[in-house]
Amino acid sequence: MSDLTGTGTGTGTGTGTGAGTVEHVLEVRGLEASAGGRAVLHGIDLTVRSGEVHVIMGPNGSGKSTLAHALMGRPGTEVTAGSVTMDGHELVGEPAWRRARAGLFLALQHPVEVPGVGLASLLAAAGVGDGGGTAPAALDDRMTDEAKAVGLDPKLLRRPLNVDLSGGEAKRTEMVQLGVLRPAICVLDEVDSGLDVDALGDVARRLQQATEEWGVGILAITHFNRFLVQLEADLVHVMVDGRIVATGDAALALQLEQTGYAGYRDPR
Amino acid sequence: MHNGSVGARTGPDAPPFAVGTAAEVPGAADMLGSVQRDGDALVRLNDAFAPDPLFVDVPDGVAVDAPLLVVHWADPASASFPRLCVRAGAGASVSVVEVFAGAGGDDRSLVVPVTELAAAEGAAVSYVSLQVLGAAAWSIGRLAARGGAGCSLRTFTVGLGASYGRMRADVTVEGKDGSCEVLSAYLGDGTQVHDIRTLQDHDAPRTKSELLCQGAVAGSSRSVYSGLIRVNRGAVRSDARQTNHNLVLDEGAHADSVPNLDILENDVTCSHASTVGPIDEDQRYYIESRGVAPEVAEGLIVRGFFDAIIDRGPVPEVTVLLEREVHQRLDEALRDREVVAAGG
Ligand SMILES: Nc1ncnc2c1ncn2[C@@H]1O[C@H](COP(=O)(O)OP(=O)(O)OP(=O)(O)O)[C@@H](O)[C@H]1O
Ligand SMILES: [Mg+2]
Repeated sequence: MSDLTGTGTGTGTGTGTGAGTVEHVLEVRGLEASAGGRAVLHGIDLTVRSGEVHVIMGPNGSGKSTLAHALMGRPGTEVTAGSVTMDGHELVGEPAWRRARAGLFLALQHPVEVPGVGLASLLAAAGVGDGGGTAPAALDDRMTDEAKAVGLDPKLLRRPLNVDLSGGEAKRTEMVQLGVLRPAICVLDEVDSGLDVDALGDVARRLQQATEEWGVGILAITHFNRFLVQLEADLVHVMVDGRIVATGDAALALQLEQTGYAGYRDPR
Repeated sequence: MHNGSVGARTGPDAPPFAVGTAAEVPGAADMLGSVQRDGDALVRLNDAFAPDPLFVDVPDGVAVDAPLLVVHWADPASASFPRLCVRAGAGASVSVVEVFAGAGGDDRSLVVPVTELAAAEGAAVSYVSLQVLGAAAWSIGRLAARGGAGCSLRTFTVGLGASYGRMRADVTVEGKDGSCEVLSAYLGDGTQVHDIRTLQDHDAPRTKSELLCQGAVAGSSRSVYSGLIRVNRGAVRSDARQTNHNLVLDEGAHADSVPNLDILENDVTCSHASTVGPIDEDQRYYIESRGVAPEVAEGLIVRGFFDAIIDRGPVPEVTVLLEREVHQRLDEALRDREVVAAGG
C-alpha cells in the first residue's frame, strides 16, 4: 500500500506475451507538472511495463488527466521537474507526435471533434496502411474488427472524428484507434466512463486480450471498480492532490469503492 | 466570355425542359430580372452587357435527373457579364452547377456574373458555383434566389480564385413553409481578397433558412463575411440560422465576420455564431497524439474543415470536383507557409 514507485510487483510482466514480443517500459520519475500555470502534479513515480495493467484512481481534480497529458506532451501542460522515459529514451521536451511514435498512446477523457476528418484518414496519416490518406482495404478490415470487438457499429467509423458521436461511441472509437495503432504503452483516461454495461465488458475484455496479443502495457485511469471485473489490474494507485498516496493490488479498488477517498486525503 | 453548357440534349429524347438563349427558350424575357429586381450599378451593367443570357426553364412537376453544368471562360484582359436564369415550376426540381474559370496567370479580367434562381411552389432548386478565375482577375458576383411556398432552395458558392472575389448571395423565401440552405466556402492565399455577402430574407410564415459560410485565409490574404438575416412582418414562426467560421492560417492573413439581424416580427427563432481564429489547439493535439507530424496534422484539419462543408453541398455529383480544387489550392497555401516558417 505504501509502495510509491509501484515497481517490481507487477504480476503480468512479460507473461503470456508470446515469444519474440519486445519488452517496453514507461518510467516516470519525480514528475511535477503544471496545467494552465497552476502546479498540479507534485512528484509522480510509476513504472509500466509491457503486459502490465496499472490503474489510477482518485478524486475529481486530483490530477489524473494532468498526468495523462504530461505523459503525452500536451502543450499547456508543463513539466516542471522529473522525467518520463520510454525504453530509456527521454520524452519530456518531445512533441506529442514523437512520443506517439515512441510507442505511447493516450485515449482522451474527452475525445475531440474534428469535422471533416475521417478515422481512416487519421490512421493512414499516423502511418498505418499506405499513408496516402485513403483507407486501404487492410486498414478498413482492421478498423472494422476493432469496432466489432468493442461493440461499435462499423458504420460509425465513417463519421468524421467524434462528430455527433455519443459519449460512449466516442470512447469506443478511441479503443478502435488503440487496437489499430497497437502502441507499446497506453494511457486510458476514463475510457470506461459513459459506456453502457455491455460496452464496459467488451472494452475491458478487449484490453485484457491486448495485453497478451501484443503485450500492451496499460495505465488506466478510472473511477469505477466495475471496470476491473474483466480487466485484471496488477497494481492500483491512488492519486490525491497530485501525488500517488497509496499503491496496492486489485483489492484496493474494491475497497476504495466502499470507503471513498476520505482516508487518503490530506487532513491539513 | 464563352458559355458552354453540358446536359442540354436535343433530338427524340430531348429533355422535357428548356435550356438555351432567349431565342431558344420561350418565356425567357419574363425570367430575366424576375428574381434580381432591384439592381445596383453592377447588376445594371450586367443587364446592359450580358451578350447572351442563358436560360433554364423547368416546367411544373418535371424532375431533371442530372445536374446541368454551365462553364464561363473569361478571356484574357476582358470584361464579361455572364447571366444565368433558372426557373423551376411548381413541384419541379433541378440542379445547376456554374463554373467561372479563366486563363489564369497575370490575366486582368473583370467578371460580373448575375445568376437568378426562381423556385415556384414546392420546387427544389440546387445550385453550386465554383469561382476559379486567375490570380489577377476581379470577380463581382451576384446570386439572387427566390422561392415560393414549400420550396427548397439550396445554394453553395465556392470562391477560390481571383485577386478580388466578391460574392453576394441574396435568398428570399416568400412562400409559407419554404426553406433555403445557403452555403459558401472560400480560400484565400497570397494577397487575395474574398468578400462574401449574404442575405437570408424571410417574407412568409414558417420559413426556414440555414446558412453556413466557412473560409480560410493564408499568406496575407483577407476575407470579409457580412451576413444579414431579415425577417419581414408577417413571417411569423420563421427560423433563421447563420454560422460563419474562419480559419486564419498565417499571421499576415486577416478575416472579418460581420453578422447582422433585422427582425420585424416577434414569434421567430434566429441564431448566429461566428468564429475567427487559428487552427484549434485541441484538434491539433488530438491528431498529433496519434503520431501525426505537425504539418500533416494541420493539412488534415484544414482539409477536414473544407470537406465538412463540401460534403453538405446540394449537388453531390460535384463533391469530388470541389474537393480536388480545394485540396490542390490548400496544399499550395500550406506549402508556401512552411517555406515562410522555415525561412523565418
Ligand atoms: N488548463 C488548466 N488551467 C487551470 N487549471 C487546470 C487546467 N487543467 C487542469 N486544471 C486543474 O488541475 C486540477 C487537476 O485537474 P485534472 O483534470 O488533472 O483532474 P482529474 O483528476 O483528471 O479529475 P476528474 O476525475 O474530474 O477527471 C484541477 O483542479 C483542475 O481544475
Ligand atoms: Mg480527468
